Amino acid sequence: MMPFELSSDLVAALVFPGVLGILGFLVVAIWAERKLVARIQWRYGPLYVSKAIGGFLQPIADLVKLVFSELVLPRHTNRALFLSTPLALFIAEALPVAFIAAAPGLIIFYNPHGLAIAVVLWLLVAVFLVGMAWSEADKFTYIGAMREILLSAAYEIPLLLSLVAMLLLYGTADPYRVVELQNVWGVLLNPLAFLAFYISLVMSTTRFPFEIPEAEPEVVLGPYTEYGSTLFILSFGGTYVKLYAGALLGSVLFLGGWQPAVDTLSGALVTIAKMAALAFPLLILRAIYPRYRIDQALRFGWSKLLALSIAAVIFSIALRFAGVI
Amino acid sequence: MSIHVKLFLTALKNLAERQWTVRWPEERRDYSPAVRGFIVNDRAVCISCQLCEAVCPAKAIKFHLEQDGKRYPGIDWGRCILCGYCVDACPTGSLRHTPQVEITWRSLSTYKFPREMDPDAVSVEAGGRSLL
Repeated sequence: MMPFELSSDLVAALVFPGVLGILGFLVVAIWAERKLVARIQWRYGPLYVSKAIGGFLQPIADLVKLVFSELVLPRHTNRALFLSTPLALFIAEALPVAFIAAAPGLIIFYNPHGLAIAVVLWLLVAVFLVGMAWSEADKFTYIGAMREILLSAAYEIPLLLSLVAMLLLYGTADPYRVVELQNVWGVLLNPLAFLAFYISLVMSTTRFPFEIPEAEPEVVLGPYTEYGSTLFILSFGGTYVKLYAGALLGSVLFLGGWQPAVDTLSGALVTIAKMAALAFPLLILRAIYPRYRIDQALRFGWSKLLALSIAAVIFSIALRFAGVI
Repeated sequence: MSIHVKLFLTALKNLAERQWTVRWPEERRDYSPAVRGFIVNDRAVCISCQLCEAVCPAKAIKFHLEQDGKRYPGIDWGRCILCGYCVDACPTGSLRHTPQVEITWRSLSTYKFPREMDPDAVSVEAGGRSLL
């Protein structure tokens, strides 16, 4: 006899969209980003470790190397905060995943307003990031934190408005109901909201045209500068976890979730495929764009992006009155 | 909007490409017409102010006296990094880039400070293809 029943929420927490999914995404996304960007720039990318499978083990080797490297604790910092904030950041960035259903029955915490909770949790991450940068007490992290605050001022409202537009359109934040309502995918119902969401996603995960907080030539690694070893994995890997949560939320809200699959296993596979489709353009952005200045990003966020997201909300209300859903 | 689509298509095209090298000089890469290529000097406009020499970070530009009594910039192409600072600094716009990026010479004596940097007389021996 098994000591306990393997319930579906436990599977969701341990496999997908939980721990295994997040760690798997971390490894695959880092490898895919390096490899794809290298291909675009006529390079080979990681090849030293496991040449036969395209250097796929390179990020794992990097992780092992990071775990065994020395953890330096600066003397002038508050050590308890210095050690605990990366962990808090990583958890905060992974927490929205708990309220989003990845397949029928595959959800960690079911709540009838789950998607709204996930959105709010997602927007709270910037607070932890700034707290982390503050506790490091370093010039580069300070500048990085200021840039993060300014950038979140640029993307937060458009992101919230674009998601509110979709929740208004569906009239519910229930993670199952939202997918059931999408006979036509959300991206086709309200393309404006998708565009605003996608650009805000790029900004909130600080992918390349908006990679301003951790701009390497300017502020070393921004808020992540002081960390090494496992704390670096937790803090810097957190951005990929955020990307994972964003891709999951986007695929549920805009790409019809696990439709057309009906059972749990095939539903999870469909969701993974849709998440990969959402994350792929974000991974190759590094090879395509240069970096915006912070004032350019702010101007873009507060003019075009804000207008786009407000238009998305109005469009959603119009669709609602027209009785499309 | 169209520029972003074009950027993405270029990236995807590069991603799908299996062969990264070309059989030069039979095949050539496509370059943007705005590429910073071989730099030429229009002697009729040049006022010999030597600003280009002052801003050059690679110290590739030196001025030399010509027979008409004026001094003109000459570029050491072994040093030039094609950064374009001299073109930006030029107050009269006499220095300018050409789309020619394949800058090769057959002998050492010709690539260093070629006296013929004006558009009329220049000859870049890039695969036997003259510049202008």
